[in-house]
Amino acid sequence: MTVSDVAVVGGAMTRFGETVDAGIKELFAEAYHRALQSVDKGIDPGDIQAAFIGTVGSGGAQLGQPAPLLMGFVGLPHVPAYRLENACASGGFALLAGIHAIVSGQCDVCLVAGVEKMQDLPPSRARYWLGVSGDTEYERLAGLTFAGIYALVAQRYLHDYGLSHEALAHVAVKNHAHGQHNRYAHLRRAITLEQALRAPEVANPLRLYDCCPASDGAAVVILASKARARAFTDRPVYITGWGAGTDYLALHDRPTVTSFRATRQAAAQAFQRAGRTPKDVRFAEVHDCFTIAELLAYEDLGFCEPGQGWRLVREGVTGIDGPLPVNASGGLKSKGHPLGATGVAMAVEILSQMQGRVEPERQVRRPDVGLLHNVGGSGGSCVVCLFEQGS
Amino acid sequence: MAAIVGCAAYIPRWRISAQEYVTAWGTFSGGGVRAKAVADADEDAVTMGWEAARRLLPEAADRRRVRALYFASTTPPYRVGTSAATLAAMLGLREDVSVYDLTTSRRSGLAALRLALQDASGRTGAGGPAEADDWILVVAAENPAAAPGSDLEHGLGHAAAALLVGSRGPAPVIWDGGSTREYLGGIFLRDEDGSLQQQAVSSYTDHGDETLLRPLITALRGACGDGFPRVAVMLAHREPARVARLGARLGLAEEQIRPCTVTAAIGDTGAAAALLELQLVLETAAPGTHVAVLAWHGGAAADGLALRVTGPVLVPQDGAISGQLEGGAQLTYVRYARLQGYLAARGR
Amino acid sequence: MGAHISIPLYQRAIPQRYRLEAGRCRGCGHINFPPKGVCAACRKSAEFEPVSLNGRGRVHTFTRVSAMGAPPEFLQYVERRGPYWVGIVELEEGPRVVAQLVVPDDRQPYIGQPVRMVLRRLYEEDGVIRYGYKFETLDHHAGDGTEG
Repeated sequence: MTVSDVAVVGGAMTRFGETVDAGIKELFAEAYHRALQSVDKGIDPGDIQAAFIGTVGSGGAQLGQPAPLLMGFVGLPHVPAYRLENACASGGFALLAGIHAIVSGQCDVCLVAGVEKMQDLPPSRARYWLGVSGDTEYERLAGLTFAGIYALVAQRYLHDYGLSHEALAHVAVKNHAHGQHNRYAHLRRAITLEQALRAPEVANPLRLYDCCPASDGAAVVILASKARARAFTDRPVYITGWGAGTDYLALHDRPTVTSFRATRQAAAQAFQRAGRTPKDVRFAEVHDCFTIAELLAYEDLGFCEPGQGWRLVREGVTGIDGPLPVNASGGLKSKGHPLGATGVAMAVEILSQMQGRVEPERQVRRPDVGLLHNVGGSGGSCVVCLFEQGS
Repeated sequence: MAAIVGCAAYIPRWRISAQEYVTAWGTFSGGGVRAKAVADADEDAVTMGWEAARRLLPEAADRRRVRALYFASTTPPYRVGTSAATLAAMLGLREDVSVYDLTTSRRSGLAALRLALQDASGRTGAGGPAEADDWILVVAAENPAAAPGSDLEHGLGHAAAALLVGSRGPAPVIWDGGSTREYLGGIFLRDEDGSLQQQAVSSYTDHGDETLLRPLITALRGACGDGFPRVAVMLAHREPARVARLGARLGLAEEQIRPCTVTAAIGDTGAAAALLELQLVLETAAPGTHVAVLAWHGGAAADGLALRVTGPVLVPQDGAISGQLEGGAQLTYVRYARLQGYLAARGR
Repeated sequence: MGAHISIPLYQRAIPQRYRLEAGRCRGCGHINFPPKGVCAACRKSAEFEPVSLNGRGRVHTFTRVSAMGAPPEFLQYVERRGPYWVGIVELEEGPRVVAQLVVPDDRQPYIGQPVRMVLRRLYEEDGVIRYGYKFETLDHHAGDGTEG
């Protein structure tokens, strides 16, 4: 049994996807209320002392101060609230800020949330979303959206290791196989390898099924200090390690494009703080915004040697029945990717797995040590956290 | 004596043939044009002009010797604005460079060359006192378009020419002159939709051309004296098939009329045409050769220039026209139409 | 909504976009493109002298972007031209840049391929044309291409 200074005592997410009748306020409210309900022994909203909210665009309607907007909407207008942003890692950095607040003694109980509304725009304007995480001045003006940037990574990776697109396609198949059972997933259907291989090309070598969807969604977790955790639940999930990494925003400014230093940096910090190694990880939620990102994650997190990531997928190591299930939730690929919500949704998933609250088809057996890996854009920022079950 | 020092051309590699037009339209109205050079969707007169100029002057040190830039095009990217300034910035010319845009008619290219030569010989003053070692850069570039169904569209081609002019050099100017008449119509563009139009009565336009050019030929004869029969005369006609007849009516001997080889191979490149035809002649002209080139805008204004070649004109290998005439990939008409934006959705 | 490159922002980068103007660190000599606030190599010096790069380099990686993957500024281009190539180019002097690649229709780029800089229209916004560098591939192998 492990104990640390900060625990997750409750959490919930909305179903990711296209929610026409809900904006960021409604999405946040839904996740918030269900997160409160998920706390075993109950929680009074008055217990919440701070809120850390990750969001990138807030649906385009609220450039400044979305945090007070959302908190006021759920009846917590006077709780100190922060908005964090690091593109797709906004949720992870919100989580990190919550962790820091607890372990520094700043507060005992706080709320961490992520929310994004991406489906309100017509396709022509939605394209502006697709490039917001890269270096706008250089990468977007070279004609690249998010997919294009990751395609540059994939092209070089496949070249360096003598692999074909098939190595990527298997990741998509695996994650859809998991996600089809996840009631909160955006895309709840399995796909075949053939479908993945023959899907239309988005940015060579990435095809349609190599790319996560743009989704609406929200996720909330409640963090508590060691001293307060057991007032809320007899089965707190402790966060034993955490770390953050940063790298040059533009891909071309980095010495290599086939490994994310930000991930390696964040993972090293997290493992060190937790006194753990990659071998100790029982299951993980990693940032598969594109299939190639999952292979890089395996390598950068230390699950395998560079260029060997594809083996873990092919050999079933990272499938639900394998020794290291990765993205039992379906990953970003199948679960969906509301930018600011994703990092927090990973924490919700890990909590749910550890509390045995997920669908049996995708329940990890003995989920004692879980890893969260949340990346911003093409690796400009990263958060890694380790979770362990309390008693 | 002011002279041409060097030249270079940029001709896009894509071609569409007259035959493709026949397949699409049932006919081809290009008047002696066999194929057209087609620029890419991200090229325009400025980018093509830059490509020609950077082939001519690859070294920064040489560019610093340029004290004036004359840019000629009937298809500048901005109708109001200065393309010459953008080109100067792209080339990294001196901040005190004088830039001039000549536009509105297909004589603009040769007119620019005349002005540059006059400038170089001190007859017009461009900015401050000229250094003997300074150069003047002339760039003519065209990216023309016309309504897809119009006869005029068939013969239009895309290319750019760059020439370096100095106060001395291997191809000094021995005569230049101008002429003007008022024959209505010719080729014109009045409205904003970018569609060229032309005066359709060909006997009228032919007569207008002859009337316009005859005084120039007379002046050229006078300047060359007994040597006139040996002067190669380039009439930069937009329809190569009509050159021989025009030359004959102007009293030129058959053997001295140069064919519009460039236009026949890559299409009518408007303001750049005369300079490209001139460059092709200069690429193989032996010392002692006399060359005259005439350019005109149908029935309105004409320019003429004659040079005596005394030595090899500098033509960098990648800027030589002879190596670019045949081009590369062939386009189908559908691909061509898509590239030109003829198939774009309305409103874009 | 969304990120937008204003004209003044574009303007400030014109020496880079038109002439590949880089900065040689006065401290350590490293070539920074574009010149950064602090030299990326020594992380100490913020002083640079301007140097124009020669525009030659090699393809480090590339991709072909379809209309589905294109940012809004490039929709008209992809409509006329079809899917276009983009790559990271490693310039002779050291820096890497990201840019569109100009590739003949019947060819594909390959990693390590030599390229040279060309100037093209990047896009148009509010009626103002943005020009900038792309890289033209050289030395084509017939039928070459990586797995895709």
